[in-house]
Amino acid sequence: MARRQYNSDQDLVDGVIRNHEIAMSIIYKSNFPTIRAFIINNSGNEVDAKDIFQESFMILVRNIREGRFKGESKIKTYLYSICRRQWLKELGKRKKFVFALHDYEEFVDFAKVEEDDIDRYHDRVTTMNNSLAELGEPCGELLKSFYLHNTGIGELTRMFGYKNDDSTKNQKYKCMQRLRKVFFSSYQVK
Amino acid sequence: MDLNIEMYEQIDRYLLGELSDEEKLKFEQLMVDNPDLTQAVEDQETLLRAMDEHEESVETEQKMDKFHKDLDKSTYQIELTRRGKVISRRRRIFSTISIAASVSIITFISSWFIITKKQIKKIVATNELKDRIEELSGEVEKALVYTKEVVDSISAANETRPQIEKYSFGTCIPINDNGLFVTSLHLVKNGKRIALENQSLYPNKKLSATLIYQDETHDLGLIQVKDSGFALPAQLPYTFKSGQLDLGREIFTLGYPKQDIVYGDGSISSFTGFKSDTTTFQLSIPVNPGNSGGPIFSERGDVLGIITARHSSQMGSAYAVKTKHVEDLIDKYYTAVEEEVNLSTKNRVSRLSKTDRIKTLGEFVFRVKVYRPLED
Repeated sequence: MARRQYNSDQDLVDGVIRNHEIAMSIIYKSNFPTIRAFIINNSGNEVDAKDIFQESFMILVRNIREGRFKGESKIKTYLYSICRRQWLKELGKRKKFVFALHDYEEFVDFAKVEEDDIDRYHDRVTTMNNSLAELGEPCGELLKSFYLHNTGIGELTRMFGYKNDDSTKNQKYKCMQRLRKVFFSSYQVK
Repeated sequence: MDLNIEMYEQIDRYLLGELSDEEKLKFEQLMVDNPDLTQAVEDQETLLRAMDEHEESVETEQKMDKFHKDLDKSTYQIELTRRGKVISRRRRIFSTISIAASVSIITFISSWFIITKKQIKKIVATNELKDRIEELSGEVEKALVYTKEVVDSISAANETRPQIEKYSFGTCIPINDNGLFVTSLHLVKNGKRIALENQSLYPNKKLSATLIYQDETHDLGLIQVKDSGFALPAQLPYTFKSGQLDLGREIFTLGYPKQDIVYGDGSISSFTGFKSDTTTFQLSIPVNPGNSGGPIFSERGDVLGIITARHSSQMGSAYAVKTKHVEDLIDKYYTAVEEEVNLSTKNRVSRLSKTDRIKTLGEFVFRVKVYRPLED
């Protein structure tokens, strides 16, 4: 069984696109120490470091997979830039204004559209996580099976033990209505 | 906006790509005339997108937690012991200690990078050597094939001499981008040599493969391309989906009943296969022996099953092994070799037009040529 070699940033980007755990683990483990140092030496603590890093790592993975980042700059620079920006935003929320930032890496500036895109993505995922948690079961499982795993109505009727296909469609409609209500009560459509 | 259930179902069909080109145009016209409908469609699209992103984020989160646990144990030890003192002192005396901490962290990180560069040089040199060996063995194989062809022609001329080899042909598809393919076990078992062909991705080239894992009960086999550096030039465009076996669901197949790839379509005629076998399902597609091991795709381009060599072409029916058993086999295999399972998670063709979808999927369907020993 071939063991993939990751010799360059481009290999790692490719690995992320193909969902190779090893590529993702290399990026995660080699970048965390720097980010941790950055956060801790800029008014943050261990928990902040882990939270900001994981939040930014998710954004990195998503941006790579959606083609927003193709390796134009080094991965560590790009990831650091995301963390830096997210941390600054967090500090702003906590009303902690900084005069000077101790930087540990080169960083790229994001255009406003890129920042908005990151914020909307983060907002969407967080809101959906909370909404699905609020909906509970069986709605969560039902909606995910239908919309994400493309399970047919017939199969769903069997899986969930509903009376018939119309029953299933009705349940799905009700769950979807609930999700719509809960989701859009917090998510601001911009 | 509260539309009725039928309207929402139509919106879903539109967003999931299930409308015909004509229906799509009609719906889009309806949207133009109805801003409320347009808003509802946009909202639904946001929700579907968010659900997709949610699922991906859950997966990534699980990975991150794993990575973080590993981090705490491995390279991080040096930091941990110093950490307590450094941080608490920093609270009292800010600047000098934090600079010292930063310097030590940076030195630590840069020494890690230097080690990695040396390792990278070594890896590059080994790969170059590997490439050279590949080249040479290619030449040797060419020489052997030529010799064999000469021998063949001599024995063909001499009618008392029997032919040296016979072949079976079939189809297979990759399950990862590292050269692992799934096919019908019946096709490749007891074969002397297995060769894969794909005129779109590798024109005029034959890839040598071996049978490395099998599932006798379900007539499935995993074959691996021998070249250890092999990688597909792009990500797999399809996913494996169990649970879509509705009666009459439209499906299609791509395979090699002849030398060139052939498209065939039909529908699912039964949930069960030959003599009510629950591990397979029946199709109304005419298949030929060369289709064995090939994929059954849903209209969207998800793999619902693999065409089995057994019992097919009896009275115009064909049978396919359900995807669930392919997934189980892959899980077992990866567990056995202690590696990460890496199945494609994204369907990249559902939004394409029908012909583009078929074209893209077709690029990843390979022809299998199995050389059989005479005694078979």
